[in-house]
Parts: sequence; structure tokens; C-alpha cells
Amino acid sequence: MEYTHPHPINIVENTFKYCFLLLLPFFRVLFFYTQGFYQWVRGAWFDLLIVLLIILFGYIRWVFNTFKVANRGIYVSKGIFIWQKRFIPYTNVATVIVESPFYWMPIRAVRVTLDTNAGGKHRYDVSLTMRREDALNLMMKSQLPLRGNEGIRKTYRPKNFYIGVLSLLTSNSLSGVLFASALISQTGDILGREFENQLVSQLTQIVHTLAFGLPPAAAIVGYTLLGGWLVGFLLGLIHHKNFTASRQGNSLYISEGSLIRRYYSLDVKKIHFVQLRQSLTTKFLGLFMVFVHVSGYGKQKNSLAVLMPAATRREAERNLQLLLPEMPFDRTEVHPHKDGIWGFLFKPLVLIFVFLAAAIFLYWFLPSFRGTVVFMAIMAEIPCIWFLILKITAFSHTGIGYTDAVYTLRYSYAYRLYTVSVPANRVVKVQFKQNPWQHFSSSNHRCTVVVYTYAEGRQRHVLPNMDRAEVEAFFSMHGLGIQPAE
Amino acid sequence: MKNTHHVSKKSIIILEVAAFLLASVVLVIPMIVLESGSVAWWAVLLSVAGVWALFAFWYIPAWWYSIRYAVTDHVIFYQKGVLFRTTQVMRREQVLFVSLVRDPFTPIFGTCSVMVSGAGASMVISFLRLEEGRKIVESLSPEGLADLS
Repeated sequence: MEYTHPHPINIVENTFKYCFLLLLPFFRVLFFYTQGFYQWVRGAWFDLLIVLLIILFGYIRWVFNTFKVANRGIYVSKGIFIWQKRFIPYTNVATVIVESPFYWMPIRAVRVTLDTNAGGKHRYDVSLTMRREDALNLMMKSQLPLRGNEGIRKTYRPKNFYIGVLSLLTSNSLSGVLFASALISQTGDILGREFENQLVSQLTQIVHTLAFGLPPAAAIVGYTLLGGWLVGFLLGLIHHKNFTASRQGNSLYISEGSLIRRYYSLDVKKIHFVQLRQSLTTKFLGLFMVFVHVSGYGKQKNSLAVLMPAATRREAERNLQLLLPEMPFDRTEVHPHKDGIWGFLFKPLVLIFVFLAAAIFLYWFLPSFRGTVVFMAIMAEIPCIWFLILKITAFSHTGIGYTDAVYTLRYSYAYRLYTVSVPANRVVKVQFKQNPWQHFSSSNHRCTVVVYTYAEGRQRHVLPNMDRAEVEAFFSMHGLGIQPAE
Repeated sequence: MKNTHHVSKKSIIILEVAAFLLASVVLVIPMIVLESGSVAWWAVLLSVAGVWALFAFWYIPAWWYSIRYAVTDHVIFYQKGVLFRTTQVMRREQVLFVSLVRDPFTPIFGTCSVMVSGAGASMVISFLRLEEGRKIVESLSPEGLADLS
């Protein structure tokens, strides 16, 4: 097979973000200019010349960008002045991603990315826009060594309700606010500043109407966050709809998305660990979200490395047995030291006390703002109390287990509880940390255990307030060769 | 852990000299600005001298004593810390590459550092004797020693 160029739409990709800045002003002027086309060209010739040069540069970049899908790997060649040629064998590829947006379907173009365990944490090793046929060829050839002779394909398809739960709990107010503000700003660029100002003014009036006695500033902030969260929720729903995960041989195949279809091919042998996530809400509901950590999956913006959007304990166990039986979850063998409860509660109690003290101080010294101070104090204390409840739960949750050459790590971070199943050969380093209080105490019992696992960047799992002697003996017993503390 | 080693005692000399120089630099401006013999002058002098003495006579020797390392068939072990004790254990089979780091002190004191890197974690053992550093690198990465020496 000879070298092929990317899909011609790649020329537009190379130039779009620069052309966009110039094309909008001229299309607006063109629609609103009344003195005729010739006059318009006379006024905008320099901008037109810049646009043509940008398109020409994009075309030259496309000419010098080629690839070849061979039987054992992919060759990629790119660069105009500094030419780079790369060969990546399929056996080293951890993830292949094919993205098919709806607006590219008529031209049969897809975006393909490949990632290995090498390279950067935030960049893909190969990223190309291909014809659909080339992408299918690449997907087939890369999956062939993984599937082997395994004929059976096991498939998991979650209910839409669980996809809704995932979007509900992982939607980001900030990303929603940014998306909405970008939308309003770009609308203003196209339709004029006056339209943008009218839109913002109308939204402010609506918020004032729906304030329901709240201070106007607080209502605007609250509704902005709520609106942002709603936009984030809808974007998440669109992103993860039609989620399916299949296992055949050593290949894990995931597909999702409605407007933009995404297909992921993962090498099971290159999965670093499997992670169950719970918040307090999902813990009370008895639901788990299951994620898988492998190079390349979940790297995209606003993307999550989901294996199961949400599931009950029984469903999660059953489907994990189906999809990844080589990464079981074991019961906890080593728990935190009983004295360690105060280590868990220290931070939330300090936060509660600090906000309370600040509120009391401001209440007495700013009498004209007492209403706002009380409101802000309540708003600040609610997440702190939620944090306290979570840390109490985390004390009973935290621990380490081991079965079939796989460690099970249970810990909490921020407002989430994590359960991680990581093969012993993926553990790179274990660190035991003691602060002065723990080190100089008469019993010298407690420490923080940090487990570093194999990853492109740094990946750590932190278990606080563990019994030092017990955990060192545990790791010694399971292959880390540490003698018990003297 | 049994059969561990300390780093070079020359690290104490290096750090003592550094602490003395730092204390001298910190003292210069107040000694010039403040009136000699005044209360403020004595307060600054005694504070800086006190902190220096604490570091020179307690912290630095305790820090040296707290550092232990060992390279076994399966793991690399490194422990340090006076107030904040840290013990690191890295699996040998996860080591991707090893670096021998020489600094301006190497020709004078004969010390070096060894940086052990894996996918997702790394470890630095500082103030090793040069020969000891070479042995560790040879043990972990024999084919690389020729280039590193």
C-alpha cells in the first residue's frame, strides 16, 4: 500500500481557525453593504489576500502530510521544513479512536487518533483526518492481533437512565458556562454587538424576575451556575448517548455519542487500572461509575474514560466479570489505624470552624450586611458539612486488598470515593509518608501510603492514616520486598 | 529495612557550608542598616544565629542520619526526612532508565546523584559517593554505564 494523503477536509481544518477570524467580518459586510460587489472587493482586497494565503499554506501542509496503513503498523510522515517520519507498530498501540461527526458524514471523513504508553500526557501520538475506508482498514488491522482466535464477542449496553446519571453527576458548571458564553459571544460576532447586548439584557431581566427574594447578585451567580450546569449536562448526554462496550480476545471496543459518533479500540493488556467512583449521592443510591485508565482514552476535551456510565453493585460486578475478568476487586485486608479517624476529620472540621469564625466576625463588624453574611455563611458551611460526612464515610471505606496478582486500593479524594483495581505489575513505586505528628508519636503507628501506577504522566493513589507496620508487612508479603519497620 | 546504606558524609560538609553562607548573607543587610548594639540589632543577630545553630548542630546531622538507601534484586529503597519522614520503594522491573547526575560539587567532593525513572514515577538519590552512584547505575542499567561515565 502506498502513502496516502489525509482527507481533503484536512485543508479546511488547517486553516479554519485563522480564516474564521477574517471571514466573519467580510460576510457581515457583504450582506449589509449596499454599494455593490465591486465596491466591496475594493475595500476588502487585503483581507481576501490574507485568506487566500492562509488557504494556500493549509494546502501545502496537507500535501506534506501522508500516512500508510501497513499490516504491522502505521507510518506517518509530516512536516514542510522539518520532516518527521514515524512508524508505530500495532502491538505498541494502546488506544485507537475514530470520531465521526454528523456534519462529515456526507463527505465520508473521520478523525482518527492513536496513542501509546509513550509520549505526553495531554497529546496524542498520531492524529489524522482520514477517509472512512482508510479508518476502517486501520481499525481492522490494529484489532486483528488483539482478537486472535477468540470468536465470542461479549457486549454491555447500559440503560439510558444510567447515561443520564453519569451526565448528571459529571457535568461541569464551568464548561457549561464557558460554552454558553462562547455561543453568545460568537452570535454577537455574526449578528452584531447590538444583538448580543439585547440578549444579555433579556437574560438579566429574566434572572431579576426569578430571584424570589434572593439578593440580585446572588441570583445572577446562582442562575449562571445552574444554567451552565444544565448546558454541561446536555452536552454530556449527547456525548455519551448510545454507549456500548464489547470484549473480544484482548480487544475492548467502546462506542458512544449521537451527533458525533466515537469508536474506541483498547488493548486490554495495556489497561493500567480500573476505577470505581462514587460520590456521597451515588453511594446512598447504591450506584457506581466505572472508569478504565489506558493511554489515550479520556484524553479529549470534556471526555471521560468511561467503561460503565453507572451501575448497581451487582450489575457492576457482573459486567466487569464479562468485560475485564483479569482485574477483580477484592475485599479490604488492611484498614486505616483506628486512631486515624481524626486525620480524616481534621480538614473538614477546620474548614467548618474557619468559615463559622469568619461569619461571626463579619456579622458583628458589618451590621449593614448581616443578611448577606448569614446567607454566604450558610452557603459556605453546606459543602463543608457535606465534606465532613464524606470523610466519615471515607474512614470506613479506605483500605488495601490483594488477590490474583491484583491490588485493590480504596481511598477518597475531594468529594469522591474511589475503588481501584490495579495489577501488581503496574505498580511502579510505593511511598510511605509520615508528618511530624505521626513520626514522633510514641507508637509511630500511622503513615500516608502513596501508590504510583504505570502511566504516561504521574498517576498516584493516596491512602491516608494507614497503620505503618501492617501496610509495610502487607506489601512485603505481596512482592515489594519491604521488611517490617524496625 | 535491613542492609541499608547512608549517603556520603561529605553531604554534611556541603550543607553546613551552605547554611553558614546563607546565614551570613541574611545577616549582612540588617547588620548594616540597624544601629550596632541596639535591641533590634541583637534580636536579629541572635535569631539568625539561633536558627543557624539549630540547623548546623541538629537538623543537618539528623537529616544525614535519616537518609538510607538500598538496591536489592527486586526493589530500590530510599528513605529520608527528619520531621517529614518519607520512604520510597520502587520496583526494579518498572525502571525505564537511570541517570547519573554530576554537579559542580562532584570534582571537589566526589559526590553525585542518581535519578531512577519509571513510567509514572521517579526517584532521586542525592549525595552519593561517585563510585557508589556508578555501581547503582551499573546494577540497574549496565549497557548505559559506558556513556554515563
